Amino acid sequence: MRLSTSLFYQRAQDSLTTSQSRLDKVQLQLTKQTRILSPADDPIGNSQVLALDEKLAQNAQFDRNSTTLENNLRREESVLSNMVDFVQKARTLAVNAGNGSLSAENREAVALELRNIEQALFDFTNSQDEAGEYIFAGYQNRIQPMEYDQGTESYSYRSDDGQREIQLSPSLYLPAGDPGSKVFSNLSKRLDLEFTAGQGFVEEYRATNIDDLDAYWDGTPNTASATIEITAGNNYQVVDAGGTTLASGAYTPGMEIEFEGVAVKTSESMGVGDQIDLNIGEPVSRNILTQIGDLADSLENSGPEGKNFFRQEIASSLTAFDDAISSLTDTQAKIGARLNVLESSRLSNADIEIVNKKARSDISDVDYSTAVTDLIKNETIYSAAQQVFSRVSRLSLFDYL
Amino acid sequence: MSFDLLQLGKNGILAHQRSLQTTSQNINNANTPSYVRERTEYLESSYGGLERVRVQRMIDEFANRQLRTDISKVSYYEANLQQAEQLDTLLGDSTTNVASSIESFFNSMQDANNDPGSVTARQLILAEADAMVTKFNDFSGYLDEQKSIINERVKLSTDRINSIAENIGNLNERIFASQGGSDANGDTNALLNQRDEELRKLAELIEFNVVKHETGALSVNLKNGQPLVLEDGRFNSVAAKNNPNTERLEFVLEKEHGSGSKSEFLVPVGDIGGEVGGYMEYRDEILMPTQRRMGQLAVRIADSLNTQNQKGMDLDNQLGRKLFDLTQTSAQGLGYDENTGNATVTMNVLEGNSESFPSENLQVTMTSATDYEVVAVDATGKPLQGAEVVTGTLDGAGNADIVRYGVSLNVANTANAGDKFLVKPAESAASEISLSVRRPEDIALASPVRVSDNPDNEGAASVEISQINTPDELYNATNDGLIGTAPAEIEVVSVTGNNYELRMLDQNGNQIGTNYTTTDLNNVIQQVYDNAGIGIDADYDINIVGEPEAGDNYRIEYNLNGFDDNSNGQELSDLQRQQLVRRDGAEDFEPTMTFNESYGRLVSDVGSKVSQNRVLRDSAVAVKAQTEALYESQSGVNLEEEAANLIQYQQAYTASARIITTSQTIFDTLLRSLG
Repeated sequence: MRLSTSLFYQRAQDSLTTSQSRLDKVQLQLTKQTRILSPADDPIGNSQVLALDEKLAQNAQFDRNSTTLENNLRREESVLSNMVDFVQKARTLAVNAGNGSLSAENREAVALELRNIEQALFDFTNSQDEAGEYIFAGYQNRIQPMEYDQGTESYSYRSDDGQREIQLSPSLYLPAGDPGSKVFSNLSKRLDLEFTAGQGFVEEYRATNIDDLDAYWDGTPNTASATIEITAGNNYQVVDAGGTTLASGAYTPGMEIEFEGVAVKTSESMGVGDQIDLNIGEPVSRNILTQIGDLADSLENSGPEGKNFFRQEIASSLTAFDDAISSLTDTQAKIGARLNVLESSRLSNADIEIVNKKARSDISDVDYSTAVTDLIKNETIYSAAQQVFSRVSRLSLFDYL
Repeated sequence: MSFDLLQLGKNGILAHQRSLQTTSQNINNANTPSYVRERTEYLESSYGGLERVRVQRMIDEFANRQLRTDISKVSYYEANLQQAEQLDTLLGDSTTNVASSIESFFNSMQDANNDPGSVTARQLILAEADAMVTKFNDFSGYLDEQKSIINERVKLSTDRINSIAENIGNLNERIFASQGGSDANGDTNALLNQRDEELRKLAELIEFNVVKHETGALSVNLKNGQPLVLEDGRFNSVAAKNNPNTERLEFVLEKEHGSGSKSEFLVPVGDIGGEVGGYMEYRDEILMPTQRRMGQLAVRIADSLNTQNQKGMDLDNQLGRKLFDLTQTSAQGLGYDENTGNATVTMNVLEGNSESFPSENLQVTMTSATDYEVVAVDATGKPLQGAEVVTGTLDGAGNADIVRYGVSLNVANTANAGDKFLVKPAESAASEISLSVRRPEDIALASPVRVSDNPDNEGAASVEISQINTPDELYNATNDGLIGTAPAEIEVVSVTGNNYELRMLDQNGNQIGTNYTTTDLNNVIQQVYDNAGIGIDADYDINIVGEPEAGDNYRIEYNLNGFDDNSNGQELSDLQRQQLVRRDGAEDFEPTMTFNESYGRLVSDVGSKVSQNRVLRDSAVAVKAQTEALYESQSGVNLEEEAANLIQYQQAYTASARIITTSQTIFDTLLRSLG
């Protein structure tokens, strides 16, 4: 085929520009460290890279979340651990206080220590995190969860049951805390009797079945008080405020009279015509703080003038302390379980991250050995084209004419 | 005899002189792009001897035509790629792309979920939301700019086409005039070369066919047969007109009639070819769909986040409000010329219900003053194959909610049967969305209600929230509490085997409905409502998980001060993983793509079109190079050849001159010999 002069020069120019642009492309790939300079270079690969980037970003977020969760859980764990220590101390003190050889002054000293423990635990239940938010407060974490009521001399939990959840993977959410209602407040119900007359005839009192009392008590004045009287004929009779007889039977001095789940042991000295008046409080589950407060209270009032009801208080306190310790350690166990799950989710997230990173790198990263070889090859081609052009363009028939 | 010799010599000299001239001309024009090589052809006379030379223009007409077609194709792909590669690079750039700002936004949401009460974390969400909206606005604005640049280029090209057409017409006339006689006249060749050059310039702009006439004139027809240049020298002109029907620049041919009136013929984009065709097809096939898909993504993100935020409670103890403002994305319908009524049509995003919002344009046809048909259409305005035609009737105020396309329709004034409107709800949506929340407290991360078990409950069951729906009836007018008649407590009255008798009380303590026995402890609130025949769809519902005992009760209350609750925040950040964007207006109306998938598809569609066009461009360039070589082999000047020719004709000239001197010598000898 006949070659025209302009075509010859055009061809030379084309081959120079082509190898130049190939060189440029390889150079760009090497400096940007990616094979895919724009989506058109590999549309499918690019969309895979986009999807992988999304997963990697989410994974990084989950990692951050798990750090926050771990901090929260460890903080909670340490507070709970301290609380357990204090409750155990209270328990030991309660056992000691039951020792009959202690004097009233000794018991007052014990009471003082109990008051300190009460205060310390109160502070723990109202622990705050670094942002000033209460950790045991459910959803309303700007409001102090445990509150002291001067009038009733008791503590109550005034927040809610909410638990904030933190996401560790697309389908895994773990609670970041526990509300105080589930941690401190679930102690068993307590018996609350107050003797207004005839205290001298009362030896001991206890609850035989607190649920029966709970079922009986309904807040009406009738159920709120009762009278135990010994009637003529050596019979006892328990009458409520409305006059209804709750229990009756033959009376032997020093017997335990039972009614509606309560048992009162009379003293030997009670006889016909004597009576005991008592107020019945609602059987409610108290929390550990109120329990300690009540125990301290009764120890303080166990002096010469006060009555020795502290023994009953001690007995129910021990039950309460055991309940509290078990509730606290239960929560600790839950936290431990969550930390385990967190750890394994962290490990699996790390695995997924590696897999995704490798996939991404396989698709989009430039293979250095191939690229450098290409670079050298294209360089060679380019310089060869230049040389050929300079050689051949010098040849012209006109030079010989 | 000597007389003959003289004549022969003279003919020879003249002929060789002509050849030398031609060769010189070839050499001089070796670099002239439009020049076609000329060659002298020696013609023998019937009596013997050289009669004359004829100058031939060495051109292969078939290669010439093929070359023009190839030039058009290469221009087409080059123009297309020039624009498309810019878009492709922008989409792939990690600093400007929208996907990374969406990701950052959802990450900031997660960070806030880890500490929902923190105002700082919420500030970050707002900052990321602002950045995301700005990216959408900027990107859509860039596409608008590209559109006007293309429009400008097309207009410039049509001006050039018109001037070239005029030139070709003139050249046709002049060629006809110069051919009045033999075609040994070299002037015609120059004109022919000029005309071919004009044709080649035209081929870069559009694709066309030529028809040669015996007069030597060429008529030029567009690919679809419409005449551009007529054989008698008249020409039509092209224009780029903005079609008010579609608000899109179109290519039209304007024919002038003898009477002076003009008629316009639309040239379909696929029939244009060349640079103009390349730009216009880029606009229709790549640019506009990308802008619409971006709009669709923006609408879906904004609407989903709005709807979810409204289901939660913010730091002011109020129900959440809309985070993004979609009101500016309202789209006006474009009425067709044939419409007879005076109605105006508007479409808005069907907020709260826009799952089926498509990225395609929609056509509204009024079959009566109040009955409508809506269908998705393609770039030219024709209904897409397989697209669903949604029919319905407007209400009294001229409104209708079209759930299957995620829009609400409003028709003002009166439409007559057969009136059609083209609406583009997605086109400018990405430019028009904005952030409407400025305070970090307005982000509703908490759930609006909370539930609690009564600590005195005997049974081993606890209550959980099963669903929170868009607030409708159970919240008060100031959106910061429940109304008195909203469910507040579920009490288990009695338990017989698997049957639980339940009693529901409201916030005021009154019983709602009647005691209701069920074996299913899921979604109890709605069950009680349904059983009592109360036609309320509960805004919230609960499950009782486990086995409750008689006497157990569970409370539901407004989540006042519950700022540590991040349940709604978790739902908000989970939107990232849900399928919320509709794939295709002609297919299933259910959304099947996540936000990232939608963006990924947008990018990969552009990328694969660019990649495909690159391949086609490369092969067109290769084909053109082949054709060019073929053409040049016939018409190109080879300096070596011309140098050889110079020698050849020089020698021939010398030889012919010799003949003359020989005849002169003979004559002289004859004269001398006579005396």
